[in-house]
Amino acid sequence: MSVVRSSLALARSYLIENSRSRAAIFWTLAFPQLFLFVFGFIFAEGKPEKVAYMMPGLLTLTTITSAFFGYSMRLVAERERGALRRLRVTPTPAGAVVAGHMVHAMANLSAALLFQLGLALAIFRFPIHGSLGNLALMLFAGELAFVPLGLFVGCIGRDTRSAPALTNLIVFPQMFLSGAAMPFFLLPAWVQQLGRLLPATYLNEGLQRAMIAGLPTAALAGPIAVLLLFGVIGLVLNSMLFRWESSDPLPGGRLAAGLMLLALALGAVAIWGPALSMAVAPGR
Amino acid sequence: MLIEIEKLVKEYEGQRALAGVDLAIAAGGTVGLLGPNGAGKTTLVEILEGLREPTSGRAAVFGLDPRRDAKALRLRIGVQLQATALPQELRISEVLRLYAALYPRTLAPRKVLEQVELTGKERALVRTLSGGERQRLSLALALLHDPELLILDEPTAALDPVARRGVHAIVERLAAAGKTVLLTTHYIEEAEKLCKRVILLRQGRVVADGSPFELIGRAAGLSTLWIEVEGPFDATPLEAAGAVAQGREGRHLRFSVADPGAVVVALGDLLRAGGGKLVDLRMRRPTLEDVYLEWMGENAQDGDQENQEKEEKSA
Repeated sequence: MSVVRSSLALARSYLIENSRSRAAIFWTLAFPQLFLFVFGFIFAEGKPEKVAYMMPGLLTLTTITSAFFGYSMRLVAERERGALRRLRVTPTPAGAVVAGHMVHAMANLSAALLFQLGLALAIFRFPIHGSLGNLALMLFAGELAFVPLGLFVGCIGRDTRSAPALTNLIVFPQMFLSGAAMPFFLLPAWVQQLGRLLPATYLNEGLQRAMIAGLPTAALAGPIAVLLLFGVIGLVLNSMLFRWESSDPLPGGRLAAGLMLLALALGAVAIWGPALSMAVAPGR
Repeated sequence: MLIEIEKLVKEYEGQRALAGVDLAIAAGGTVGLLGPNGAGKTTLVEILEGLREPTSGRAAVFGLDPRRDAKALRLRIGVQLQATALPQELRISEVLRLYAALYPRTLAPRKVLEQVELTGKERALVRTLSGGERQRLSLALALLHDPELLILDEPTAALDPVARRGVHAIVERLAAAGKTVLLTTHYIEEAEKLCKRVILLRQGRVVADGSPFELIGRAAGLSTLWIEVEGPFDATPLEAAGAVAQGREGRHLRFSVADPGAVVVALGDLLRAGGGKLVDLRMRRPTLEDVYLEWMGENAQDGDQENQEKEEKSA
C-alpha cells in the first residue's frame, strides 16, 4: 500500500461525492461567478479593458475563498462526523488523508477557475495580454499556496461552529489588503506594507504581470517563489498539526513551533519579497 | 494470548473511565464486553484499536503496542466503530473500492458482500441504505482485508430485531470460520447468544468474567419450578430439598429453588412413593440477564470493593 495510492483513492471518492451533490456543485462552480457578475457588470461596467484589469483580483478572490471556506471546512466537517476516525482504524497515514484532500481541492479549484475564466471571456470578451501558459502557471502556483493553507485551517479548526471564525480572520485581510477586492495602489502606504506580507498579494501581483502586463515567465519567478514558500509552510503546518478527531488536543508545542515558522516566512517575505508593480497607479 | 491487558487505567479530565483492568483473551470465538453506558467498554476497545492512549497500564494485541505499532496492528484487525460515518454519496462498490485501496491486500469485494449478505446491492448509494444495511456495510469494511481479529463496538445498536438477527448470523459465521471477535454490547441476549466468554464491566472495572453458562452457575439467582400434580400432594420433601413454596399459578404450584437438581430428585422420590401423578413440570433457570442485574445492581458495590482489594493487594 502506498501513500500515493491511498491519497488518490480518497481524492477520487471526494470528487465522486462532490459530483453527485447539487449543493457542492453550486458552491464550487456557480457561487464564485456571483463575484464575476458583480465586478464585471457593476464595477467594470461590462467594459472589456476594465474587466481585464479586475480579472486578476477576481481570480485571486476565487482562489482564496474556495481554499479557505470550501475545502478547509470539508476537512473539519469530516472530522466532526467521524469520517476521519473511520480512516484512522485503517493503516492510512495522516499524510495520505491531507494529500487526498489537497488533490480533491486542487481539481475542484482548477475547475472553478477555468469556468470563471471561460465565462468571463465569453461574456465580456476581455483581452489577456500575456501567454495562457503563464496564466496557468500563476493559477497553479496560487493553488499550491492556498490549498495547503486552507487545509491548515481545517487541521486546527475544532468544529464547524468555530472554524469559520478562524477562516474569516485569515481570509478578510487577504481579500482587502492584497489588492484583490480594491486596487492596491489606493491603499495607504502602511496598509500596503501589511499587504506585502500576505500570499494573496503575490498571487494578485503575479496574475497582473501574466494577464495585464503580459510579462515573460521569468518576471513571474518572484511571486511564484513567495507562493511556493507559503505552500511549503502550509504543508509543514498540516503535517505538524493534523488531527484525526475533534477531541484530540492541539499540541501546544507544535502549534507554537508552527506559528514561529509562519512568522519566519512572513519576515523573509517582508525582507526578500519582490517589488510590487501594482503598488503604482496605472499610467504613472 | 491474542489480547493482553494489565492494570489498564484511562482518565478523562480526572474522571476514571477504566480503573485498572486486567484481561487476557485467547484467539478464536466471540468474546463479549457487556456493561451499562459509561462502564468503559468503548474506551477499552478504543485503546486496543490505538485510538486512545491509556493513562497507565499496558495493552497489547498480537504482542503489538496499539499506539506505537498502530500501522502493523491495523493490518491485522478489522474495526467496526460505534458511530459509522460512511460517504453518503458513494455506491457500496465505490466505498469498498476506496477502502480496498487503503490496504496492501484485500479479499474480493464480491466475496465480502456475500459474507455480509449485501450481494446485489453494489450500485446502491450509501444514503439509500437501511440502518441494518449500513451496519452490514460497515462490517464489510472491517472484513475487507481478512483480519484475524474483529473488534465490533455495539454492532447492533439502534437496529430492529430482524436487522439485529442478520448481524448475529454474520458474527456467528465469522466465529465459526475461525475469526476472533471482540464485541461490546448493551444487549444481554446478544452476549448470551453469540459469546463463548462474557466480560462484565462496571464503572471501569471487570466485575465478572466467564462463559455465560459459568456466570449463570456462579450467580446467586434462584430457579423457578412449576409443578402440576393430580391427587394428594405434600410438598414437605421438596421443601426439605430447599424449595420454597411461592403459591399457586392456575393449576401449578410454584417454587423458588436454589438447587433444582436436588428438588427434582426429591420430586421423583415423592411421586414414586405414591404422592400423586405428575401432569406438568416446568423450570426457568436464571438467565444472563439475572446475572447482569445481580452484578450491576446489588452485588455491584461488593464487586467494586473486591476490585479495590485486589488492586491494593497487587500494589
